[in-house]
Amino acid sequence: MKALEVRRISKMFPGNLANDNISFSVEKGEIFAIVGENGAGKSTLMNIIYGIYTASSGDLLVNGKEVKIRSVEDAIKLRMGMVHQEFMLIPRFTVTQNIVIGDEPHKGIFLDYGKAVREVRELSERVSLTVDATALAGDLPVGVQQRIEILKVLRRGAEILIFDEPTAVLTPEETVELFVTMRKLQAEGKTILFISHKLKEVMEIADRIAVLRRGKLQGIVNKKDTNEEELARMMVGRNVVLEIPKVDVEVGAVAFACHDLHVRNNRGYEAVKGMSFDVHGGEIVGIAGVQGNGQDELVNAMIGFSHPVSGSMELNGKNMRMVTTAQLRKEGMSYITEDRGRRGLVMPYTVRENSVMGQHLNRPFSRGIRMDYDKVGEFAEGKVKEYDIRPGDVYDTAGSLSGGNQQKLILARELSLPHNFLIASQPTRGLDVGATEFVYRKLLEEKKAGKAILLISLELSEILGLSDRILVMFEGHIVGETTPDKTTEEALGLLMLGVGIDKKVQS
Amino acid sequence: MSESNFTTKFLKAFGIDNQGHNRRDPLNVWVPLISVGLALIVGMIVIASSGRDPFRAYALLFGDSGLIPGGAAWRREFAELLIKSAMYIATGLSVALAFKGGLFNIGAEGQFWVGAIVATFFGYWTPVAHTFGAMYLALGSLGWIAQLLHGAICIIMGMLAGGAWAAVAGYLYVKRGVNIVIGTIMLNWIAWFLITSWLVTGPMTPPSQTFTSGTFYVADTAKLLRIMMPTRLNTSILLVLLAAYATWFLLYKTTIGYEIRAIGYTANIGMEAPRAQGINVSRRILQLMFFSGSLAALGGCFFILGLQYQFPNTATMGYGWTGIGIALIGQSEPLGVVLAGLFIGALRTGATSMQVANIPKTFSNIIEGMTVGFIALQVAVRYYLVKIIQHRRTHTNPPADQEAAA
Amino acid sequence: MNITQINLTIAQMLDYTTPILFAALCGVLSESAGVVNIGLDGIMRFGAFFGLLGAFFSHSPWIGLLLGIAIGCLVGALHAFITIRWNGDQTVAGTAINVIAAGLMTYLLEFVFSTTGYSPQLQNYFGAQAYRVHLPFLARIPLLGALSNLSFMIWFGFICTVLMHVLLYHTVLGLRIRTCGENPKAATTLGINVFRVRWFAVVAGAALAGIGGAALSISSFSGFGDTMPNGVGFIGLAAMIFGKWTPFGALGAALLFGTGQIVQSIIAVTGIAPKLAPGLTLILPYVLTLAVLAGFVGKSIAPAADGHPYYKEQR
Repeated sequence: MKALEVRRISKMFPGNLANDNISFSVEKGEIFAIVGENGAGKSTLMNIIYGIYTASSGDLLVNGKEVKIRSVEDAIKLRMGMVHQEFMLIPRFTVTQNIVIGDEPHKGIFLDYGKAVREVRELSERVSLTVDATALAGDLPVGVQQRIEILKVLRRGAEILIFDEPTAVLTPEETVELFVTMRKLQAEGKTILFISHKLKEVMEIADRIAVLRRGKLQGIVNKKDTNEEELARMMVGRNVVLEIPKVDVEVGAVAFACHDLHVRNNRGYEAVKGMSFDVHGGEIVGIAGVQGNGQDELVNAMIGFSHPVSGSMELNGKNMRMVTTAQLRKEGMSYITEDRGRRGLVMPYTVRENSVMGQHLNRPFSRGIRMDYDKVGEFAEGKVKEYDIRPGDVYDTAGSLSGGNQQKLILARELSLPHNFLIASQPTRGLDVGATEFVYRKLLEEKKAGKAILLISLELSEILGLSDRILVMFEGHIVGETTPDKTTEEALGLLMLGVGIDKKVQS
Repeated sequence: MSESNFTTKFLKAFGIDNQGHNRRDPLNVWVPLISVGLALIVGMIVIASSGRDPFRAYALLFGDSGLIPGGAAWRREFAELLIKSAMYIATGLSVALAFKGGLFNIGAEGQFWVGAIVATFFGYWTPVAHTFGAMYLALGSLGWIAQLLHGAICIIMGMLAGGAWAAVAGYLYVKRGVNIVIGTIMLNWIAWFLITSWLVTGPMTPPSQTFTSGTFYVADTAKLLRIMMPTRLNTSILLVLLAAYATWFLLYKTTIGYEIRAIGYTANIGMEAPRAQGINVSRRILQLMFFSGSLAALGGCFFILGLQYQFPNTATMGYGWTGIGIALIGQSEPLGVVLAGLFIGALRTGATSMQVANIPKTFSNIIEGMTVGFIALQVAVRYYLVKIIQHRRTHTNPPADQEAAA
Repeated sequence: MNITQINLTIAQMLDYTTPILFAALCGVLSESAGVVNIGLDGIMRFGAFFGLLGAFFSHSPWIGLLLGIAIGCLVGALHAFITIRWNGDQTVAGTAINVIAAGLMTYLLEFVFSTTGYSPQLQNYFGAQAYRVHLPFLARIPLLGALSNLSFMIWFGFICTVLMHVLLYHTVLGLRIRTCGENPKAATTLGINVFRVRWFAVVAGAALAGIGGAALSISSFSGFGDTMPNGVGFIGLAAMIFGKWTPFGALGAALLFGTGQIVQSIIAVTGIAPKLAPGLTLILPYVLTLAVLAGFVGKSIAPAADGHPYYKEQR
């Protein structure tokens, strides 16, 4: 019997077809995995099924009946439940309170907390998910918090459970436990949709696997008929490869070096676990890896947003471990970010004002405390021409520009700063082909000028085309170092998905 | 549920975030004007429903506001208007400057009084007062130099103190994570009670007087010069215009202002963009609070040196609160604040005359409060404005034009 | 200091405590749901005037109390309309209410009573005993004697504290209110209507501020003064924070701050300390609150989503 059927679902976002005519069906009691890279459309699809988005077209069938899911409440009524990637827990509430909110055992208007605790205990015993029903949720480790989320969903009587990247925040031990739980739920006849980009896990737990790429369904395979390599190929595919000319430059001195760097994420969990590498002048070092393997934390440490827990970090031979962003910039660090809206630009500021941020204290843009907006304007005009930033009015706000032009503005600003070390973090994310090519050209020009460049990207074609050396990052470690001529997209793809890495490298 | 949904859609459609507004939106000018207009209409309803003639009341209100030249009392009214406005503009600038940096300095009230009490102290404190008194006599016809210097010292000390008072809230925010609204509210009352229930009734009062008399009077040299005899108009209005210019200059012509605005624009998304560009956000916020506090304190200095000449026992709160309204009406722009301050000053001046028509002078508070209320409701005001504009467009133009507009 | 004096002091202290307590409870309820209401000082002013008005014309303190509740609800609904329905800035809306209250109440005072400064004294109409609760058996117990003849409002304040505690921590609605204040998004994924819950909390909270105002004019002062509530709303706000956003915490803080208000008379009566300037004791609530917020003395943390307007999932 089919528990869920998705028929020709499409979802249009402005300028982006996130889901393109997707159809599949999930049998009752099955663990069905949906894999794909970031931006492949997995989350959009799940949000449609769970009533957070509405599909532009297509139908949903639950237990063979056609249904309209307009809100989360509708989904809950249809006995669906979602364990969100970002937990919906209230740290100050007890486990029991968290589990019962919205459907509380009660006597009249009063909350029957005793009964609630008993219910939670019974439930947790029945499904063998051990939780301390009276503990505060915020005091518990992430793995247990996830159990609370699962219990919450089960208590609402969910028959179809959606797990959105559930292992992203878990330790390996917690992941093993989660899988035990999922199998148990399966044995009880629950249907599970498991969203992931970690192939090893998918191969371990799923019965069937659907692969999404760029919004399209690439195929559905049975686990026993496939292997990680095949999945990786389906997932990564062949992207449109831009012709990237080879540029040979003599490699210069070390600009940036770090040794045994450890960085914690904002949850206090170690995300970078002892990385050592260096970047020389005149070379592009690419860091390949699936998102969420510590790249963000590495960048945050390198730009002075967070201080590494231990290890060393040097820029031009100077210790930079505990310094501010301003000091790093003074020493010659430039930074291109993928998060243009939050980190790259002040959106309500004009092109003119944005173009000098970071060097606004230098002449000729200011003298003493006085800004010289005429000089700023001249500078911005020049950059707008040089970088072909459209529509070209320096009085337009940055927020009114297209993504590509925003990125050009960021490039114009960062590359005009006095610098010898450039961090380019997913510099082409969300850009069209033209803008992407422009970014590539600029990076190569930088290399020719003898700058040291660290390129962090999820796009393998980009890493392979631009880098002189490639480091592969997986779970906070560097799990491989290679050069573009010695590897292929497939080989890299496997490496960054953790395929074939023995335990000793990881530990 | 549906109502919130359409609000969200509406907000998104017009690029308005929950904090501020689309910068180039012409509605930015219309929202405060319409808010004032609506408040005046509600005010008329209040008057009419209490059985009085709203038209006569408004004729008195605006006729005696000092805005309209002519009439025997005009010079005096005009002087009163400017004296009041000077203080309101000062607190308005204070709140507006903090707004520009993304901070809600609700503590302009406390900073105003801190400035006032410190200016009082340096106005009467014997070592200072005697020095300048002696200088005044020694200089003879150049005595005005002593007056200038003594006044300047009082104002500078007052502004430093008010700035420092606000910087305490800035420090608690930056270093200890205390919400700036709560921090400044608490500091308001701390300042108020320390001053009115301690300094003004004890250490700073002449021993022979009763406790209701207020503090010592400031020396003559500390008083602001009068510039339009026989009215009591003094230099405060000139000084506050200078302060408004300085605020504008700070915001739009200096590196500090450039950074402050960048911080303000990103305040609700973590200020990451300025931080990533190497701007020291914490230090700027501290400085911003200092500047903001010193502007409010400037108003307090006017209150003492231009009007009361002592810290009276009868002082009542309100200047800082009014400043919030003025900053909002003025859309946090220095020029807007000056205009809004003049308007509120005019209301307050004219309101005194409304007592002739049996309307208490606090009527102007109702108008102010209503205006602030309508500005808080600006999403609604904008929504209906746009609706009206669209309605007219569909009726006067073919649909093709709409497409072009969209 | 004899027993009578002690009893009088305690009764006086409780008289000061009650309006602070109601204001703090208003804050607790509203902010538990995630809506900051700094307009509660203004709402108290509304409550104080309309409470007096009702009592004055009906010659019954109870009608006054009801009118105070009604006006509290009305002004609370205004705050909710601006901040929840239209996502207006909560601090700006609260400021507007405070400023309107300042002007409108003076206006009405002159309009209704043709006086400035003070309304007529209520005691002339129904006597000071009309709203007092007599518990003669307490009078004989030495230290509880103070409680034998208290204003109804004081007892009502204690009752409301308990009721609020029960509401927030022992009812279904309370759990949902706190969920909306901690994580409205999570509340939505569980099928809770965040807007409805916040409306309830703001309006019900404002009703309490209205009662607090009525307590001030009807019971504590037996009349309306034009400077009312003289910042009591803000002390209430401080008490809410000092009490860590809980009803019993608010009660404790209100008692402490109430004591602070009468420290002067205690010192005068007992002579245990040299005369202290009142300013130095009046600032106590605010200094303590800042200390708690800054983590110098304990730590007080607001509900996680306090003050954040809630937009439903953007589509």
